[in-house]
Amino acid sequence: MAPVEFEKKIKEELEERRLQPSADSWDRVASQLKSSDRKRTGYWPYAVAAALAVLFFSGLWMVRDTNTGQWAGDVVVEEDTPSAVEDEKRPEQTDINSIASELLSESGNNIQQPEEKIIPETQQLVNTEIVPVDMDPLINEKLLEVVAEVRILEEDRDSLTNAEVDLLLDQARQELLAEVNPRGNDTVDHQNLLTGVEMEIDKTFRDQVFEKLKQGFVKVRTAVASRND
Amino acid sequence: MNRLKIISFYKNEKVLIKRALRGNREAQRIIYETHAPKMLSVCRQYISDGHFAEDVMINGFVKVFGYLDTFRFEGSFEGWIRRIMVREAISFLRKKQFVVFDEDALQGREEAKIRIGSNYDAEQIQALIDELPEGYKMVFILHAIEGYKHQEIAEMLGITESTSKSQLFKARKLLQKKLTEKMTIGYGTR
Repeated sequence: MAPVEFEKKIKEELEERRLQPSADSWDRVASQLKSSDRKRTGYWPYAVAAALAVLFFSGLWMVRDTNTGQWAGDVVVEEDTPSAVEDEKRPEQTDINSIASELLSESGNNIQQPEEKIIPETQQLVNTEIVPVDMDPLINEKLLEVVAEVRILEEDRDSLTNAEVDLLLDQARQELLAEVNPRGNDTVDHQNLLTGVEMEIDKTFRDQVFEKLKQGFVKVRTAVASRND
Repeated sequence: MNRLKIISFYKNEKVLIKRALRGNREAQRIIYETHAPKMLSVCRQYISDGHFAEDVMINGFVKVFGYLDTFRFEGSFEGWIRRIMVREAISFLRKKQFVVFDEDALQGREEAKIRIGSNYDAEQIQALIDELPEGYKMVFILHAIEGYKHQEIAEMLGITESTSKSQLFKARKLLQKKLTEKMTIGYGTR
């Protein structure tokens, strides 16, 4: 028989052949389908839980009052030091000019007393280890340093340009921010990230630190000039 | 009338597939029972042991239902299932390391104790095919029965096209030889 004819015959015969599977074969298929269905649905509860968690925290984020920088549902708790985030929103507690004058007359830093601070409930849930920092004493301290530095420079030279003063103030601002966030950027942890985010949200925060430094500097200079006159 | 029947069957099959796709177990069972006898025959062509062939067919159907969403209703559903079965059978044989593409594969094969005449049936043909070494058998079935080209066979089996051609040539030669021997024995003309 020629190969082609033979192969044709083989193909026809095998194409028409039907073999009956064993009686329990469908049950075996069904049981495997059940287990694969279970595997497939196994991820859903986790996916739903994750989505709900994301929604929950997004919701909390959205209800946060962007004007005050506080969360809805604030609670009052005792804190040793005030929050850096809230700092700019509090009423001016100390006259920077008087503090600076006092400091210039070597009366030391004006350290604020512990007071009741409003700490958001959700913020506490997220991170209870955040230590808020009051910027005012730090600013004043840094201001003194800048004033002293300016005076030294003025003694050495006849005049000092505004740009040089601004540069000194900017350096002071950077040092202040580094003190607020002493861990630096080389390590990544949740506290750093949270602090960073808080600062980024209040976009004017850094600018305001700079402004405070500058205003204080001008006032101190004016006061010193008036005294000398 | 026949045309109406074909359209009706096609629609029914499409509905069944869509139901099966949604996880309807009854629809899956109907699809299984419709195609299982033929698919078991396909698997049996490659795998000499009937139990193993059934295991392969069952795994194949689990894949059919698992990948049903990839069927685009563009070709024959039976053909799509068949391709899955063929690949499953090849995968099984390769995992079990039955496939050897060399001359030594010819040694030690037992010859089927059958009498074969000019009116040989499917079982007799299957017995002849079973006698072939796995490498020869796979290439022969893929080419002669399934109609795959040598390039496709080479890709499926991870061999070169020339190996596929060579295996087919040897398979044909061996089958012819065996057939001649059986027919001679059957008719007792020697």
